[in-house]
Amino acid sequence: MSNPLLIELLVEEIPPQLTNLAHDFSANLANQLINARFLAQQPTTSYCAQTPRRLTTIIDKVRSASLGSTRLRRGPARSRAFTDDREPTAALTGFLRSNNADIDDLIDIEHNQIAYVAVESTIAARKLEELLGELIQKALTDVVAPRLMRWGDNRLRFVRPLHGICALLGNQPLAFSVANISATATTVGHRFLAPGPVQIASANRDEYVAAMEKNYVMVSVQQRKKTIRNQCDELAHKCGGQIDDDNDLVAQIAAMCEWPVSHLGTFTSLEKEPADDLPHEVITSCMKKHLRCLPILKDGLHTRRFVFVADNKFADSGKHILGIERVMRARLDDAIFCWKQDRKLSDKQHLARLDNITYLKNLGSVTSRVERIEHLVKNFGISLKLTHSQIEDAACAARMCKVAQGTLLANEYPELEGVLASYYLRNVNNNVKTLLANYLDRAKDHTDPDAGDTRDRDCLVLAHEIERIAAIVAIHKGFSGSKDPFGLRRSMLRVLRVLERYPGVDYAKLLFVAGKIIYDYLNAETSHKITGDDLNHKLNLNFQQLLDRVHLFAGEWLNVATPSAELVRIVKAVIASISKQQQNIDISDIKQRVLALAELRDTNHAGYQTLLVTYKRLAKINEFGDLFDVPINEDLLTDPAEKKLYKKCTKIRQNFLSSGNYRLLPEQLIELCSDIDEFFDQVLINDPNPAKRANRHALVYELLDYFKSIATMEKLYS
Amino acid sequence: MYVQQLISELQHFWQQRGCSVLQPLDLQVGAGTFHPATTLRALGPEPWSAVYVQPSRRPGDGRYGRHPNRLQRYYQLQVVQKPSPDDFQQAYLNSLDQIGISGKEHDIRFVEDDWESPTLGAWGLGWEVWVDGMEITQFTYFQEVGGIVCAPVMGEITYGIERLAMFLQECDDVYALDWSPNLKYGELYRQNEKEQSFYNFELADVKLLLETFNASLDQSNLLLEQDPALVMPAYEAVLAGSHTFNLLDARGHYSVEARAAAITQVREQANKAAAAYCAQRTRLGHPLIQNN
Repeated sequence: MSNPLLIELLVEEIPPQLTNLAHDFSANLANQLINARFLAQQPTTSYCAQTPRRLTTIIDKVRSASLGSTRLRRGPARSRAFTDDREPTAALTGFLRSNNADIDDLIDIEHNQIAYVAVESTIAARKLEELLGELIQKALTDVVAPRLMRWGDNRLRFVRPLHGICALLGNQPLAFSVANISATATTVGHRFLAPGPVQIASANRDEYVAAMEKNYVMVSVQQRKKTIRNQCDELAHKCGGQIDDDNDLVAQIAAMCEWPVSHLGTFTSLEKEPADDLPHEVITSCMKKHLRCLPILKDGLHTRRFVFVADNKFADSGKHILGIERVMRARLDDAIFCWKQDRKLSDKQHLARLDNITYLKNLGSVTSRVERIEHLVKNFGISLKLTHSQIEDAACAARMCKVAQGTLLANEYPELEGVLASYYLRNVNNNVKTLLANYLDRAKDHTDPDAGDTRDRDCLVLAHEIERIAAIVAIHKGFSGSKDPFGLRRSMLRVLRVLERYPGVDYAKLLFVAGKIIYDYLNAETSHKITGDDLNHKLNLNFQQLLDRVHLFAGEWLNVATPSAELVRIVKAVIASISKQQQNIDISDIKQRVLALAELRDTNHAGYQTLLVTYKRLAKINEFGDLFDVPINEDLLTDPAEKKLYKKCTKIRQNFLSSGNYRLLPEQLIELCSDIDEFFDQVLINDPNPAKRANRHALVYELLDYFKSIATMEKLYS
Repeated sequence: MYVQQLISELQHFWQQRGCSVLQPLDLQVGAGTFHPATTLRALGPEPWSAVYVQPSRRPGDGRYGRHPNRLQRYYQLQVVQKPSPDDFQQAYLNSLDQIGISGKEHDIRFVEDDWESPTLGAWGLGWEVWVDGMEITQFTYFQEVGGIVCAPVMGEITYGIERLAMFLQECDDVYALDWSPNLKYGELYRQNEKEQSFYNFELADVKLLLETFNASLDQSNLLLEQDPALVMPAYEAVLAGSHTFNLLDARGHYSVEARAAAITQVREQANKAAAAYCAQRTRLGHPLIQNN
């Protein structure tokens, strides 16, 4: 007998960015139910929903008791199970003990034409209630979230404290517990609008949704988003404007409420002279990021109106609106105060201020830093093939890139440091202003085909981040484990994102140029002397450390929200293929290889497996390693299978390896796999003729080299 | 509701729930969390419940007494309970009800804000609490302090007294708050804000502060090297270093990178003090477990 299973978990407010939590939990629980034989297969229909305070899943066709089963456990081979005196051997005694069985329970089986002893064990059917608590706990701990927590003296870890479980199978309440929380057939409604208990009558989706809606909970996030959009559009329309459309913000707001109600607010400054020239980026950041309000625009410009979405409805919303307006006024008035103070300084005064800001102990002031960035811009500009005028502008932007550091407004809105610099400076051209406004915006690091020529910006980003990496490495340690006090990972990620668009540009070279400048500064200007060898050693060490840890931010680099274990393995394998001594690190090339393997794995899994199996086979033959790193003598190839293989190898060498085009290489290698099989089947590699034998090993060596040119294949074995 | 009344109402509420009413730490600190009643008591297995007010100094937040919302010194009311009770969140909402903020009339939201004190090597997960968009409280479940995992977990509620009072008195200017029937907040603190802002931003001697910063951390190290380690003086020396760091920051001495380096220095010392505290409590046999 099977029925839908409803599980609703009540938790304290879930972070809004964890939008897949209910989905993950639902999938994990379904897997647990399948493994425990309560569910025949992945449910064809299941339902999950998430609000800030609850995760709900309804899984169809769940049995109230698991299917019992018998399982055969194979023991030692019969010949090794008994001594010549018919006494059980130690192997058999151990096997019987571990299976809680007697000699009488043994049966004979045959496997691969060998006789074994075995015992049959029976797994009894279990009631769902007996196991469900354990299965839910496993499903919870397996969810993907950046940080899990504990609370009270509980040992369970989850994203936020768990408070209640509502569980029904069909219309039957289920009795079990998870972390001392007993399941019931009741839940609660909206925290303030319907806080009392809500009885759930059955695991029927429509009934559940209706019961919750009656208690002011819109369980569907899509419905909440739609409601918010409709309400906002209506309010914006009323005042003749449009909502600043921001899907991410609407999604975030929808994830923060169970019953959204939107209100219109107006910002009125208390300042005697309101600053109409306050940068619109500050207003946007204040409204969206700090208060999660949606600004109302007119002709693309800010009005003094905004929409605030409450998770509550009031008979009289006047007090509430006054409250939010007061907060908005306080924040924006503070921004105006800071803006006015900061604007009192001239360009010269802004730059002079940087003399008094210590960059890093022994590395001088921020003024020294911007001089180094400028120097690097000029150097990197040649590698990135900038025009003369682009180098001029990027160098000017480099000199000015820190003018907003330490200003009152940048202290409040650090994400806008570059933007503010572009506003504070009066005597620089518009190109420079654009560079300043954009260089810290990480969203612009991604490849954007519509962005046009971004080489000048990219050059400034690289100089800014690589100077930082080299400086911190020279003075302090890099990062280790989860400890990254200087945010080096973030810098490295930016460098990866930018350099992946510049084939042939060598990251190692750029880093060592920066290292040389740091070295010169330390030895010329400070008492903190450092030898060239020491610095090179530190840079090399850190460089490897950075590469070794690229997999830690593979998701961010490759734009995958939660990278799978396989993808991480691919990144590790490709990085590992870079020789420790290799000085030329082409990030674009690394990314191409990662993407090629990932795509192959996703679109042609069987082919991907064939690739790994074939590589294993080749590696096994190549027992003498580099000994056969010698040219292949075509005249010594006699067998048709080896001739055919050699011919294809030549084609691959010409078409892919010499051009560095890895995108199609894995597919080509898969095609080659059948030829390799044929070669192994038909050709005796260890031929009695030493010349022929060496030549065939050289062919194997070359084949292995093709595989290794993509990744260290051993790292791809699961 | 007067500010003084607000404080006593909240203290009374939490006292009823088993918290001991403590007094502020007599040192310059950035937040109520720095009080040993939170930082150190969050460590180890002993239960703990306390409520206290802590004057908190953030030199960089000063506005010369000219801004209606920003202060370089303000009050936090701190509640800590270990292990965090199951109904901690609901109890907090009841405390708001007690002072006249009801979820029926206001939009009360728990907005994700994972708290971190890099100088204390501490972090926790929780929220900032908004009432009609105004942040009035930080609500945290401590996960680590001084680099040591908290087990059991301490729950921490930090009420911003001025923010709450402004909300309750429907007041746009912090200096216009009624502290008591006869006294305005401005009469108490405006001149202080003005003078301290001048000192923090313009006059504090950077050279002297740098010497003090290094000396505080050295002193802390020396005290921890004693046998047995002098935990409280060592911890207080870390706090002195931390406040000096805040002053240097307000003076614009640090770049982002130099700031991170200084924070690392303070954290390393805070971690040592935390470890010494744990060792001391173990040596004493965790007396609060026995008392409970």
